Amino acid sequence: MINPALPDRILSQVEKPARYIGNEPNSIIKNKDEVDIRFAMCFPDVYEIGMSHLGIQIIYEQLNRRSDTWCERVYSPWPDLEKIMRSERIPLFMLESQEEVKKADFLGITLQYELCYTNILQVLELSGIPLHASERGAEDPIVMGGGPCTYNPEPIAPFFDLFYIGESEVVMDDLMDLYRKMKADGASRMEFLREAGRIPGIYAPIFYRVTYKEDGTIDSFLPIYDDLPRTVRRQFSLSLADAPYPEKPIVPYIRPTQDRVVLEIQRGCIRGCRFCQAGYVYRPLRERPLEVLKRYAKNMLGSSGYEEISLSSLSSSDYTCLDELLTYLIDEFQKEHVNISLPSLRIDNFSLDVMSKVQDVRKSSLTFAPEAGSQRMRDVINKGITEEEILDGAALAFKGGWTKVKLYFMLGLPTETEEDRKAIAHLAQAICERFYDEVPKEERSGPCDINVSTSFFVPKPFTPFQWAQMLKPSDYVNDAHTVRDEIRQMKNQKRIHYKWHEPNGTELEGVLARGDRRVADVIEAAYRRGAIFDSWTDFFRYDIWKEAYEEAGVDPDFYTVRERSDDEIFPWDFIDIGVSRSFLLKEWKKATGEGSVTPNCRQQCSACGLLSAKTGVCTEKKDARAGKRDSLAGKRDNFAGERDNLAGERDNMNGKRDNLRQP
Amino acid sequence: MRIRVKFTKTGPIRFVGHLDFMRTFQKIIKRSGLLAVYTGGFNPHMVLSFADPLGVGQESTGEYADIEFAYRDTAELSSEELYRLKDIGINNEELPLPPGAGDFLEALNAVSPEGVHFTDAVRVGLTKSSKAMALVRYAAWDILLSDAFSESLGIPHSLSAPDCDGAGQTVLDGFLSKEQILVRKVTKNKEKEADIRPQILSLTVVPEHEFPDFALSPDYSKRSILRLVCESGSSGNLKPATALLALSSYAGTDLYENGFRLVRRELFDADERPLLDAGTRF
Repeated sequence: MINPALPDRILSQVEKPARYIGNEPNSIIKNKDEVDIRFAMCFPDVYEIGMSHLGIQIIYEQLNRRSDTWCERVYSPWPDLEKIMRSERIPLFMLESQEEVKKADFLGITLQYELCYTNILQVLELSGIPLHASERGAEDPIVMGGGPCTYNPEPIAPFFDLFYIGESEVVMDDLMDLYRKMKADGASRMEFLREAGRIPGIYAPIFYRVTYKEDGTIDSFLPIYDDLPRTVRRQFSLSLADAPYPEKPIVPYIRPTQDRVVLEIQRGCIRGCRFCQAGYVYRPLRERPLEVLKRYAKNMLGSSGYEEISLSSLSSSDYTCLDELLTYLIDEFQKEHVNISLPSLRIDNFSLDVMSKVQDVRKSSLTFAPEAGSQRMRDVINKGITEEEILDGAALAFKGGWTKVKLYFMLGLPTETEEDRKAIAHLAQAICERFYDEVPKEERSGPCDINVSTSFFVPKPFTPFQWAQMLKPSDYVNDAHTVRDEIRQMKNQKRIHYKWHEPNGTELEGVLARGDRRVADVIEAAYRRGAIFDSWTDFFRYDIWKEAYEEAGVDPDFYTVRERSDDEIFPWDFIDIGVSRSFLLKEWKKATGEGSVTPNCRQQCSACGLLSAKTGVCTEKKDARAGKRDSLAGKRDNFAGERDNLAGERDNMNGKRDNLRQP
Repeated sequence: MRIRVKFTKTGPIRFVGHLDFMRTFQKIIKRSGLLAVYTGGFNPHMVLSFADPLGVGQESTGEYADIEFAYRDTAELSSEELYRLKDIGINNEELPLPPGAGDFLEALNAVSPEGVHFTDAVRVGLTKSSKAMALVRYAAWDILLSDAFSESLGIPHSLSAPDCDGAGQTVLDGFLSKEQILVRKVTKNKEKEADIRPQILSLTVVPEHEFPDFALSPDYSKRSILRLVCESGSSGNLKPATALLALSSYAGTDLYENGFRLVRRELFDADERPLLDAGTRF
């Protein structure tokens, strides 16, 4: 039995002590004396959030398949424990062995959202690892970042030894093999980092120098050694058929945000919504074979004991065998009392039929993500969907017995006008009217409920909108009020409920998303002043960040509201994701010029740059009609959408704290 | 067929609270492949109840849960029991025969996390009143005292002074001989005094050979263990910590908040019989 790192008296006084004890079913215990590499895999947020993340479970599986490596997990301690750890000088520990993080060879940190950056510094500090890569020595783990935020790693570059740009399936083994060999040969830390930086997709920031022009933009970005690449190429799997997958997922004792078996049915997206980073950095769309998914579902449910399964992808309706997969899941597992949790699907007769089989129609609500209210605006963002299609989908759902509809929109999009914002209210009203038109009074099981929610758009690297200007912080609330006031003017305003996301973190997210290395000082200053868990609404403190900007001498407006020229060198331009910059610029011009729509990857290849990879959707025959109708609910399933969920969940948890504790 | 299982919850998993432990427990049953009975509707769940929730941080070698399984109940069923089965849509005659208790326990233990071990299983009646939850009246607790706390209570630790059990028992007997043991109870802004003496059946020093075989932390190196048998469950409940608080004040010392660890050893019905006794072997 492994003894907990924390003594009883501490576990007895902290909230949800089960966050820290490890030992969950299917977690992997190895003999530390029999492995060469110890890898601490960290999600820098609280356990329940981190345990919901599929990517970490994939890497956990992948690394633990190696007999020479033991991968363990690390999460951010909740502030109550953090305080005790600091005052009693208890170092941060890994869950499996309950040993301190510093004993690991690698500390891998997944970067899922920008607002976790202060938590990274907390993890480093509590582990006793110097914050700056330049100050680390032989006894410190190699600190490596991965995940979506590595598509602009510059604001956190000084804190990391390496970044892994791309999917772990490709060169992780090469990196581990190299480490094992060089460690055995007695190589120094710097020798290893330099050699690692030569592996495709691995970026060693300490060996790169940035110079700036007088106007503050980047002049040059170059490696200091000739044997390191000027451009780091994103790594992606050519086939997911045989990729490692957590067929025995860890089963947490306490309820994670995502409390179910998750099947990643495909990676990438054909849609090319111009705001969506995931839609570009995961190209091309690659599907997992149906038979493989069936096997995963069976094995994962059997080995975990979960009674719920859900599908994960960016736009699930685009999965070619979706009908067969859903039919299989329902036929095979419903009799075993397993809930099938459906992703957002294109509303048609099939999906409504499936939905009515797995959920109580009267209680469930349908989610639509038109993202913008007016057709003009939807064309600008390339959300290839018409108002007619939205209304027809809603009508079909209403006829099927649904009365609750959720609508997701963004505010602050490029070229957005007051009319576009008001159109959100008009669309909600039109959907409401469809209900009263389509469903005769005697067939209505109740009034309809339209829940409208908006979040504020943040431009991300490697999207056509990477050139976009953001609004001033003061504009956000005004824009939300425009929507609110317009909804109040609607005939059925009592049936339309409006919520908007707090804009407080939006500016910061904007600075961190498109920041350069100079922003690192801001992050460190904010952390020193107490910023932590910035993605949690009740932790985020705007005043701290304001002070931090001043202390670091950084003007946030430079990164948010400034207009960027077509040929500006961006901090992330040294990364090659495979989609060409000229394609993104063409899309930006199309969006802000005539606002014309680009067809999806199944209709027609638009030469984004990835065709040469010869995989996934790029190798399919094109069909102008294919997938013509966008999934109405083609919600940004697991990225922006997931983020919203996590934020919501955080709010819930803030309210529900302690409920599960027994006296 | 309703089956009562007896199991342990020891080691780090003691820090998993009751509600989370219930979910963990359901997943064990699901992984075992045993056929549980589910409620209908869009959110089916197992028909499962625990005898008495255990607090966070407390261990047990005597936990009980009743689980309904979709196996044929071979006992003679009363009309009330037959009616109940019909009510939840089960035809007893159509169900498969249950595996033997040995196989049954093996299936559960093969998929249980460390610290959870199923030690026994019996068939029990199907009525509401025969549920473990309805039967439980008393619990036996082993209270592991830290060296410092046991010394301050005047109870010599057993390992270093093997024949001092008698001295410790004298303290406990003196405590129990009081006519009333008054403690302050705070309930919803009200504070009142309550007599807990009637809630205590016995309080003894545990002889060394009955110690639970856990790995103990250094604080418990010399091991003094008290066994408290007291009221437990919904009809009347005494927290062991409350009894310890009263004992501390009797011994003229403070309660050492972190000076003890609780291990529940057994649950009893009104006749002071272990809950397992109400069932039949299968």
